[in-house]
Amino acid sequence: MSVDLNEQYDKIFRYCYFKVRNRTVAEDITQETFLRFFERQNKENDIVKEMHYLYTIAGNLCADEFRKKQSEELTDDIPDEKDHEDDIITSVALGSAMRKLSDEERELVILRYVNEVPVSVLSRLYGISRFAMSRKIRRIISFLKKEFNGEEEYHYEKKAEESHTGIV
Amino acid sequence: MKKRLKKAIQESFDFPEAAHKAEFLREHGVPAEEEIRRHFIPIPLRITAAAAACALAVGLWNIGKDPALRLHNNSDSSIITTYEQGTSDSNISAPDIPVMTTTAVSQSVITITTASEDTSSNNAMTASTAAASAMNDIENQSNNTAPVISQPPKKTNKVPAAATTAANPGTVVSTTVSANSTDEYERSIIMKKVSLFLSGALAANSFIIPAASAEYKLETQQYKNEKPYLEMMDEGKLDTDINKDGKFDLIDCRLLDWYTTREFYEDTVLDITPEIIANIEKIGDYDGDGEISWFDSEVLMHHFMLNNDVSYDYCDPTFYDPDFVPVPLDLGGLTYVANATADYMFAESFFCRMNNISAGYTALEKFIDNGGMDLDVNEDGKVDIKDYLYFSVFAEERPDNIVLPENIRERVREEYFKIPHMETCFHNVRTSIRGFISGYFASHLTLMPEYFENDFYDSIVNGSSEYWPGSSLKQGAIAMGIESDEYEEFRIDEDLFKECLVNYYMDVKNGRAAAPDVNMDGRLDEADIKVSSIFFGDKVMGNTAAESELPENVWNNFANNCDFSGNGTSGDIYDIMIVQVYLYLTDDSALISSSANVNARTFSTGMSADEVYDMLADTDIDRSGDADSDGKMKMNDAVLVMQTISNADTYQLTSKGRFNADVNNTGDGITPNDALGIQKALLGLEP
Repeated sequence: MSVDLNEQYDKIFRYCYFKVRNRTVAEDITQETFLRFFERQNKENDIVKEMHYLYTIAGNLCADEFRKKQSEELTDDIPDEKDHEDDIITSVALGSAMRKLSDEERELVILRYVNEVPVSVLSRLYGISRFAMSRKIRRIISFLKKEFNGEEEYHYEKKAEESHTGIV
Repeated sequence: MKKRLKKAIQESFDFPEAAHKAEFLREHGVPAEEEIRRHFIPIPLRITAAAAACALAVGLWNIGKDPALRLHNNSDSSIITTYEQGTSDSNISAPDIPVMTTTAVSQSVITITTASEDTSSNNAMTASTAAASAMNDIENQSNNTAPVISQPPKKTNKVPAAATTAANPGTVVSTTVSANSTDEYERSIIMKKVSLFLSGALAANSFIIPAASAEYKLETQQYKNEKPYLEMMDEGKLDTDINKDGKFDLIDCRLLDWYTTREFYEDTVLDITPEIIANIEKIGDYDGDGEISWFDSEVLMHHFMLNNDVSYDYCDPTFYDPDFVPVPLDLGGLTYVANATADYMFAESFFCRMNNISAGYTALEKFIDNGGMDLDVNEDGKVDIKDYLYFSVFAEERPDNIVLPENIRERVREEYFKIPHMETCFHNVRTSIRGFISGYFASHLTLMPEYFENDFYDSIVNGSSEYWPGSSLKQGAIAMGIESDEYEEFRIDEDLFKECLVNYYMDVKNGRAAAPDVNMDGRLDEADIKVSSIFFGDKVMGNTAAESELPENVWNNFANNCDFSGNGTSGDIYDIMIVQVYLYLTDDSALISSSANVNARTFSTGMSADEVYDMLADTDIDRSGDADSDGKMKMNDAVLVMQTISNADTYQLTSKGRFNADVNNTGDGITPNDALGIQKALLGLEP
């Protein structure tokens, strides 16, 4: 069984975009990732290994890009991280809670719940056991859950208040 | 995870679309999604069509061969075939003759075979037998191509396993039989076989596709006592570097284990230095109870297991001592290791602890994948549900109820005992190992719904259902994340429950809430507990008020007016548990008189009374002072508390006794002040 390349293209692109925060660069890295993946595509027939391989290449290319950026002189057209991050994180639902997470935690959330990367792939990527990875994710989720419930309550109260004061 | 939360997480991000995806993929020979969708004929449809075509083609071939048969003159209809056979060659009009019709309907294929009366039975049989033979061919083909596991044992009333891939949702197979000839019965059976074949293809939509990368779910419940210390270790608040070499590894676990067991074993190959001992004494008391004990060692080992990919290498004594030679001694059925050195004991203890917290699944999976065990114990060339059954039953088989054939038992035993330490630890870890085996099979078998039914297994090994192989496989599938846990709503979060219960208790105590008189008879007694138990059963079974054995007004009251937990839902598992635990804590005299062993009581969630008392030990809930749990507070309770404190080896309190006796500064555990508090209460000096 092989990965669905159409689906993975979007996911790798998202991952790269999250890392480099530049659409053109992210797409370049995504395509480079797939070119390298195609070179050795026939060597694996395991979905977990293939996904691990894709994300490893993408991660390494993003790291190279980051290093390249660091060595270059800063110019005005280099996007400001915060602005772009605000572009990714919307203000709806868990937006504020997401901002409270660290970069690594946010990356994990994107990989696990937006890209739906299996824990076994994540644990390989991060070099920790599946159990440690599960617990790490569970901790993040329990934080988000708490925030989510809080926000829901807030919205509920706000709605009640609005209906009470006649604002709809 | 709740769908709403997942959706909220996904909605929290707004990623741009990739601009050049389509052309890039096309350039590299990957068809676009729309193109794939256009050309994709779902496998179920292909199978259904192939099945129907086989039946039809083979049937037609046989009809063509038989001069007695004539194909009705409607060749322009490729999907309707009518066999006609009468006493003469003349056509018989359909309305005059009773017909037997088998109809298989799917999204794409409609096959109607109509056979007429009288002597047509033989022909119908020919066609149908051929179809059945085609079915067998496909079955065989599927067996040949299936790499691991697929075919369920046949049961007369079950769908055959010819189709190993899925069919369509919403497909219908119907068989209508109406005939009045002498061959009616025979033809009916034959046509049913065809129908069965087609059903096989269609009903495969109920197959569960195994997750390609499933994980074994590790329940925090399994290490709940260690949880706070493990979390502190994860956060770096507890120092785990025992030998101060700058990293945490297995050597650190081995050193701490040596320290806690050093009095039992003189031998050691460890490089122990006074600095290391000093460091152990400085950082090794992880639970802060004033001594460095086996529990601290266990916490450290579990920390290692939960953060590293464990394998059976760590359970091999030669991993620690290359010169170790095991000398197993079989003493009347129990196996010992004569030269059990400290290294051996550490390896064994690592094995047992690993399995106790389910971290052992990874090790077992690796072991099997690397060929450490041969799962094909019945040696039929394939690993299938039968092999699962043999492994599952063997782990729990009681000597007084042997159901497996002897040769199979021997083979399973042989394979199980390839796992290190199983000879000596089998009885300690068999339940865990059985769970892992279930998980392994669940993630590698093509699962069919009946595999989760215990009775199904009686058709393979008579009496095996008594060992719950279906339930065990289901649990394995749940642990692997393949199956959803339909009983999740009947489980509680202990921390949340504790909070709800204490709040409710305080509210009742302070007059802010009514006591849980759920049967509305004006009394708080065991009848209320019984009502809650029946109500719980109704919830599990999905019964309504009308179907319940409870009076309708009582049922409705529980369902609508009993939100004791304050979570907005009346009559959920939290409310049910609050009724039971509240009544148990506040007035157990009625319960004591009606129950021989109150301490052994379990509540609806399966929590035991001991667990409840342990859970509530640090709360402000009022205590009765009844240390010996005999239902009354007397002077001997004060004496027992003092004896427990002064001579803990001889005198011990039960969980309930410990809970009851903590009268002074409630929640701080048993102290001499509690004995004093009981005496003062008896003398009327304190309430």
